[in-house]
Amino acid sequence: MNKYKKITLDGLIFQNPTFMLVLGTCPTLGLITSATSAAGMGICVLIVLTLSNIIISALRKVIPNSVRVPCYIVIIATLVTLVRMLLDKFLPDLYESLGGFLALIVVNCIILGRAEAFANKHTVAESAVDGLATGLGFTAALTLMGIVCEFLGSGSLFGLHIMDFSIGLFATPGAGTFLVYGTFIALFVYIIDNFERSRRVKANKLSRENLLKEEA
Amino acid sequence: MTVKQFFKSNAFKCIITLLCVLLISGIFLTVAYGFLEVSKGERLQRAVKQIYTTSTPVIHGVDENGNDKVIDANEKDPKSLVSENLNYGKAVILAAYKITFDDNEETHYLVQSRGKEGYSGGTVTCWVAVNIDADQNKILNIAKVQVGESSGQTFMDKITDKMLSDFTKDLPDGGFYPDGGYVSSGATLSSTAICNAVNGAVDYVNDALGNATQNAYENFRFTEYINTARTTHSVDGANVTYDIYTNGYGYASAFHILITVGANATITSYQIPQNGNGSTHDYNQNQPADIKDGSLFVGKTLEFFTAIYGENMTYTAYSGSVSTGATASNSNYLCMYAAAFATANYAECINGGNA
Repeated sequence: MNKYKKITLDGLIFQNPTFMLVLGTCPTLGLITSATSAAGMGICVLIVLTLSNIIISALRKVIPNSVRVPCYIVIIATLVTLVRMLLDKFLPDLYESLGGFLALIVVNCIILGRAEAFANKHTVAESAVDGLATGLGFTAALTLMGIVCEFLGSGSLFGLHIMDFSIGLFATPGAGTFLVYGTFIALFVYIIDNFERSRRVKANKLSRENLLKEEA
Repeated sequence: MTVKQFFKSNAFKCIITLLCVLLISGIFLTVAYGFLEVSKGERLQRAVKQIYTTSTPVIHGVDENGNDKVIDANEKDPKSLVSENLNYGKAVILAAYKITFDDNEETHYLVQSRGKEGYSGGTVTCWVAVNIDADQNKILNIAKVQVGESSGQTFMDKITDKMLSDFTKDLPDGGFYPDGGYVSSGATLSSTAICNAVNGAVDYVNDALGNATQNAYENFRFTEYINTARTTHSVDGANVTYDIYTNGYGYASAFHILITVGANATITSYQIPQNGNGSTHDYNQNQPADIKDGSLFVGKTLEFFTAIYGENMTYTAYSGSVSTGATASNSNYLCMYAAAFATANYAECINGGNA
C-alpha cells in the first residue's frame, strides 16, 4: 500500500485518536453537546496538529533529545496562542463557546503524542499528512458525536432548530456525553473488527487458492 | 568541567536550543499580536451589536477633558464614563457608556459590571443596559443583560435566557436576588454573581443620576454578610425587630431571618422564613432543629456568638460546637452572623430609630 495512503487511513480510521486510541477525551466530553463547538474544536486541533507536526519534523535533527519535550510544548503553546488570537479576532462567538478548552489544546495528548510518536521520526511531508489525517479523524469523530448529542439534547443541528424535542441528559456535559462517546467507541470498534476479520478471511482464501494453483 | 568543555557539551547545546525556540516563539507571537489584537473599542462595538440588534445606538463616552464625546466605530481606546474601576456592593463597575438612539427617544446607560461571589468565589462579567428617564433622572427598567466572560464558573451554560429576560420585567426594591426568583437551576452561585453584577450596575446608574441612596447600616457592626440594601429594622419601646436578608456564603445561599432583640440586647424571637439551602437541600436536612426553629438563639446575647466565632465573627475562627452535633457549616455561620448583627447593633438601633 502507498505510504501516504497508509498514513491517511491510520489517522482517519485504524488509529483514529478518539475512537481507537481514546485520546483527547477532555475536550471530547466537554464540547460534544454542541455540533458547532465540537467541529470548531476539531478544526483548531487539526490546524495546531498539522503545523506542530511540520515544525517538529523540520527541527527533529536540530533539537537535542534531552530537551525535545520542552521544545515541543513551547512550539505547541505558540501555535495554540496564535489560533486563540485568530479566533478571538475573527470568530469571537466560537472563541467564547470553546472557553477554557481552547487553551487546553496545549496539553492535548493527541498533539504531543503525534509529535513524539510520529513527527519526531518521519519526514516533513509524511508528518504533515499524518497531522492532517489524525486531525480530520478527530474532527469527524467530534462532529459526529456533536450532531447526535445536540439533536438529542436540544432538538437542533449546528444551532438550527429542527424539532421541539429535548432529553436533558444530553444537553450538558456529563452522563449523556459519556453514553454517546461509549456507544460510538463500541460501534466503531465493532465495524473495524468486522472489516479486518473479513479482510483476513479474504486474504487467507486468496493465499489458499494460490497454494492450490501452485500444487496443481 | 572546564569552560571550553562546557561550551562543547550537550548541556550547552540544549540550553541554546531551548532559548532559541523560546525567543523565536516570543518574537513570532509579538508580531502576531500586533496584527490580531482585539482593542477595547472593538470589544465595546461587539457588545453593543449583541445587545442592540434592532435599533441604531449612538455611544457616548468622554474625551480627555471629561466632556461628552460620541464614540466612533473605529475608535481603538474609547474613554468610558468610569475612569477607574468602581466598587458597588458585590460588584465592580469596569466601564459605562451613555447610549442614545437615532430611531427612538430612549436613553440607556450601558454598564460593564463584574459580579462577585459566584461559584468558588469566582466572578461573572455582564453588560447591563439600563433604561433611564433622562428628564427626571431616574431609572425606568433594565433593558437587557448580556453575560460576558466569567472566571471559575463551571455551569454558565445553565444560565437561561429566561432568567436574563426576567431582569427586564421588574425593578424590585432592594435589588435582584436568587431567592427572589432571579436564578437558573443548577447554577445558583453563578446566578448570584449575575444578580450582584446587575445590582452593582443599578447602584452605579443611580449614583450617576444623583439618586444615590444612603446606606442605613453604614456604621453598624458585622455587615459583611448582611444584605444592607434589603435589611430593615423597626423599634418598638425596648424591642428592635430586624427583617434581615443575609448574603450567600460558600455553599449556602442567602437567608431571610426575622429577629427580635429585647432589653439587655437579648434575643427574644428568632425565625427563618427563608432557609438559604432550600427546603429539600441536604444542608437544610442536616441543619440542627434548634437552629432551624430558632430556639437555640432565644435568650442569647452577642457574647454567645463571639465565643464561637471570635470577636470579629469570622468563619475561620470557629471553635467549639454551634449546636449539638452541628459542624461549622456555611449555613449555620450565616444564622449565627445574623444573630450577632442583630445583638451587636441593638443600642445603635434604639438610639437611631427605624430604618
